[in-house]
Amino acid sequence: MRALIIDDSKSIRTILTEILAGIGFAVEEAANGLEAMALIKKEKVDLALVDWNMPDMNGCEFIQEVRKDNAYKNMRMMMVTTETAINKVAEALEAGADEYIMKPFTREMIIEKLVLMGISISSAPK
Amino acid sequence: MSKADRTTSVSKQTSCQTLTPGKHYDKIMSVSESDFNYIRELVLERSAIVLEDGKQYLVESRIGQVVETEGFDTIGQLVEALRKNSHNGLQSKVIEALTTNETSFFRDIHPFEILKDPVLPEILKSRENTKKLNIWCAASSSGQEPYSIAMLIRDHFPALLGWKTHFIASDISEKMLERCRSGKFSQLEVNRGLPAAFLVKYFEKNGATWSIKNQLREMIHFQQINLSMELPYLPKMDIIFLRNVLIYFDIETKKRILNQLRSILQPDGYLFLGAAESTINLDSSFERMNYKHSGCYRLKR
Amino acid sequence: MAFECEAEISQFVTDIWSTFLSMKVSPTDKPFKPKGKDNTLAGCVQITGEWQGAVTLYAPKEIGKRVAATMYGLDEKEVDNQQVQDVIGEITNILAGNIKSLLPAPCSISLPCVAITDYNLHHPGSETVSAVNFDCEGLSILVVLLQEHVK
Ligand SMILES: C[S@@+](CC[C@H](N)C(=O)[O-])C[C@H]1O[C@@H](n2cnc3c(N)ncnc32)[C@H](O)[C@@H]1O
Repeated sequence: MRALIIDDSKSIRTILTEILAGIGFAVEEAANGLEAMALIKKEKVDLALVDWNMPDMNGCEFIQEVRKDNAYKNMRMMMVTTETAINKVAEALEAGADEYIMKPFTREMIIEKLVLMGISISSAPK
Repeated sequence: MSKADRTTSVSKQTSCQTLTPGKHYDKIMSVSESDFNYIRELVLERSAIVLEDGKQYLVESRIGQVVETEGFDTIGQLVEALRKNSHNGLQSKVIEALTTNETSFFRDIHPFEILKDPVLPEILKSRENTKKLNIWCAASSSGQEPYSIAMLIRDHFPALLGWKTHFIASDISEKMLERCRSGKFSQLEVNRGLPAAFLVKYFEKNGATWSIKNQLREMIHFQQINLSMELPYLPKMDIIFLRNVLIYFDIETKKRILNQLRSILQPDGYLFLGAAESTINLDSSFERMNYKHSGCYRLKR
Repeated sequence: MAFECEAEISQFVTDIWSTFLSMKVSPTDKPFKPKGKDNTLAGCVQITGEWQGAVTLYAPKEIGKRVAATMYGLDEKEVDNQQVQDVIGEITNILAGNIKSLLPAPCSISLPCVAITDYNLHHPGSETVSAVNFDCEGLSILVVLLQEHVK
């Protein structure tokens, strides 16, 4: 399974990469929506963790774009963001996000959300 | 040592989970052997919770908070007050402080999936005539478990809302029950195991606090029940959640509790235990259902 | 609009530190004392909309390094400036996101920027709404919420 982490913060990408690699994902990183669009055109991505506020294309726009294209219909997407208002959660779901998690998060929280998204976690070493 | 034991909580809203940090006490409190033994016996007698040897650190960190909030200087002083006066709520505070309240929405997910299918559809069918349903969540901690069940019912079995239902959630800790009744959760708590769609549908946000909507709070009756004592009168239950609480008790207590539950559970009702718990070697009248990882049991027919 | 939000800010900061960094911070009454000149990092996020102002996080470089080391799983000596800035920026960003939920809606937050400062709290045209000091393993951190004066 291949995952794509989209966040303009290298720190967040590093933490998320470590979490996902630890449960068996091959992980790619992108710093904004445009970079991410280019990446998913090249390689099949099963799971995207998407920040909201980024320069160039923001995460919600990215999700909307992806959902327009049937080629990506099996891609699971979770928003990982500092936006914590209820209407923001609703907006992201409407755009086509499968799940939503607010920063700060822990490894356990991410894994619990992946389980909710129907992703089976093969190994979960600490 | 888990994080929860090293740190303590400041706010009520977040007091029930290991993730929560909080105020740190500068004074490191130590507990003498005799004080440890006194607290251990008190806790065993009043709640059946077993504190093994080597759990001194737990007593030191958790009772340290009670010492501060109750205006003592040392654990020794607090124990002295406990010895002198056994009727002043101080006992309850000590016991409360030594309960572990770790929980999350849809914890371990499987029991809730099994509840959704086949357990609730089956009950819906078999109770069609009476339209009565009773559910008991027997160690509800800060409320995530009973509210998960309530959301599941509202979302998937709206027909049940018209039934005559008793949905009881209980805990030994008044502090936890207060939290359950308030239905208030922190961001860290709603970040755990709760589907985003449910967050949008069933919660309201005020400032930094997430409150579960009244329509869900009104579904549940919260009451204090100490599982180590004789149970109060309860109606016959169709579904009992007794998850992640037996682990704190000794074998005799576990047997006694299961024995009491046997007479409360409907002959075709279901009992859910935590992932690390089982009735094996405790009570042979239950059989484990062949549902993966759900900890679902029923009475042998 | 003046309002009390010290307790909330304390909670946000302790939550961020414990979940993200597994480090302890606790609110303290001791005022922030910069150690030497040019040794303080400031992460800043602007808030615009119904409520105008900024969230600033002041922390000594040592904290920045320690935090970056935890986040990147490196030794403190191995972390570079870029990583330190990124971490401080992201923490400020998360904090601002949390604080936003206490402010009148709608508001939006800017991307974070990080600067080295000699710690000068004077911002003309703004007033401090809240300032909370924290102790992090013996070093001090300061979080300031500023509101712009409405003309
Ligand atoms: C780890 S929590 C489990 C919460 C929830 N059932 C779950 O699985 O997520 C354990 C709870 O059991 C409660 N408890 C401990 N001893 C008890 C007793 N003797 N009677 C009733 N509740 C008790 C504690 O107060 C605590 O809230």
